[in-house]
Amino acid sequence: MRLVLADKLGQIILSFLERLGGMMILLYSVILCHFSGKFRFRVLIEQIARIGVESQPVILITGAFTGAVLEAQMLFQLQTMHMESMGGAVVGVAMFRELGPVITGLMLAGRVGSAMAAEIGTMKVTEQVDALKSMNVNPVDYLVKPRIHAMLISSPILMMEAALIGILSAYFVSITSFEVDQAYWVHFMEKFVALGDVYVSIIKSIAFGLIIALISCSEGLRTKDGAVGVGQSTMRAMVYSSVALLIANFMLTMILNNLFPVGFMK
Amino acid sequence: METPFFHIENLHQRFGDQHVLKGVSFDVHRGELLALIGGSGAGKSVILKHLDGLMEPIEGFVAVNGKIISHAPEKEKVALRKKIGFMFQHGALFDSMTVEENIEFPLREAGIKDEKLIDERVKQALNAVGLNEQGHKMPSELSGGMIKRVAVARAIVMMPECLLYDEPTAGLDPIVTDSISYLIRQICKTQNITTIIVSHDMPSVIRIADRIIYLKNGKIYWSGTPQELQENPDPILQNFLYGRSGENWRALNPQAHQLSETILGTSITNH
Repeated sequence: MRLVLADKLGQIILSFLERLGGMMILLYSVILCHFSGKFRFRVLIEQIARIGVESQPVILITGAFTGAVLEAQMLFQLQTMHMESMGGAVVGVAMFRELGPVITGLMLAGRVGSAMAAEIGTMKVTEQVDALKSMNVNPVDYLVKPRIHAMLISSPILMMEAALIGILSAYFVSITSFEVDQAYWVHFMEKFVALGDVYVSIIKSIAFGLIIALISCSEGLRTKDGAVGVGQSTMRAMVYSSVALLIANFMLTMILNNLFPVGFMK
Repeated sequence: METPFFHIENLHQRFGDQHVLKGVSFDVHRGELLALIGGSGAGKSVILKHLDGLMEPIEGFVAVNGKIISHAPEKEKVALRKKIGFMFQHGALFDSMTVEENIEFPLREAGIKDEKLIDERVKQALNAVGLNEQGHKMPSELSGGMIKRVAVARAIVMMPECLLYDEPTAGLDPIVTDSISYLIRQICKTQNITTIIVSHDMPSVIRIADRIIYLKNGKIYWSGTPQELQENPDPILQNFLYGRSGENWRALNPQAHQLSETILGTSITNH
């Protein structure tokens, strides 16, 4: 029994290390492609359209309701202490530092990461990746690089939209449902939300974009065994991206709060 | 003596526990049409991928025009692949591109910027496979036979010296199979393109191949001309040629058995 458990644990650790190594090699290959590969403007624009433009509705709706529910929950608590006007400050800082990047990241992992893995995975099992190689086209340069670029461009913009619409919806919730004085609400939000919060959110969203694209493309390229394999890669891409994103968020929060403390540059 | 286009020497390949190729050696001469046949998992497609430098052997090597390309630097493989067109089993067309975009893709990736030249080459390729009017369609709008034809067009658009076909007629009806087989033979012989075809479609192979290699358990079991294959009394070859599994069909359904024997007999001997 113990041996079986040790064997299973060993397999999990080996699989994790193999995947991590594979991703590092993929990242290295992407970096190399910047020197030896081609810049394909059309492919990049297509990817930005898919990742950035087509993700707008889901990001905006998620951001709006996250801000609204956070504000409502905060105000239920703050009301008891007669501190309703502080709601904007709390939601502002939370949306920029944590919820904006994380919610956007999780939505992108679900919507874009899984689609990336499925698309590349299908190309792998239908020999389209081999076809690229046979035509002297580096699959990393053609498939992975533009997706990573598109993610790095789209992710901070989407995150910023999510954070802003979250704050906006929080504002409406506070003045319509809780009758908070809007001047105080805005005053405290302006006082506590600083440029450092925006820096933190941008750094986080860029890191999350890279993590999602790298994991999803890596899982796509590892796909085998036909339709079942594509399904597994898609599922893995979403799960691994989400988990990696949450772990990275904790680490980044610890590091970035030292670099950009709350209220920084006020 | 003329250097063969391909020289394959003692090729070995292994996937996990499975020893797929166990020392395969053969030559392919310029302008020759060679067919690789054998049961599923015999290693036919794996050989094709070695010839295009998409796989590296664990032992042995592949030489193209006398130059060893196995384990060669990527730069040398890039130069090699410019000479080779590859048609994959299911076409491997890019779903997000139209037929024309699929065909012009290798030209654009090769750095050709002249739009007039690209247009001309795409039209030539589409014309060669008889799909002049289908250029604007997406792969999802095409039939299986059309997809294979577009894949052939994409393989020949770079004007290669060699064409590799992985099961070009698999899953097609007999009429489309016949037209694709004719197209393969025509391209090979009119343009003197060295051609290697992997196929299970024995009537087509017998009709178009100059030489046939039968693979069994990762090794070359037999090699010769279509005529020699038909005349060879070896039961393994005859069973493969006529699609006999060794089951006693005669006992199960004598009439259907008689009919199938007649069809198989005429389909082979009539060509």
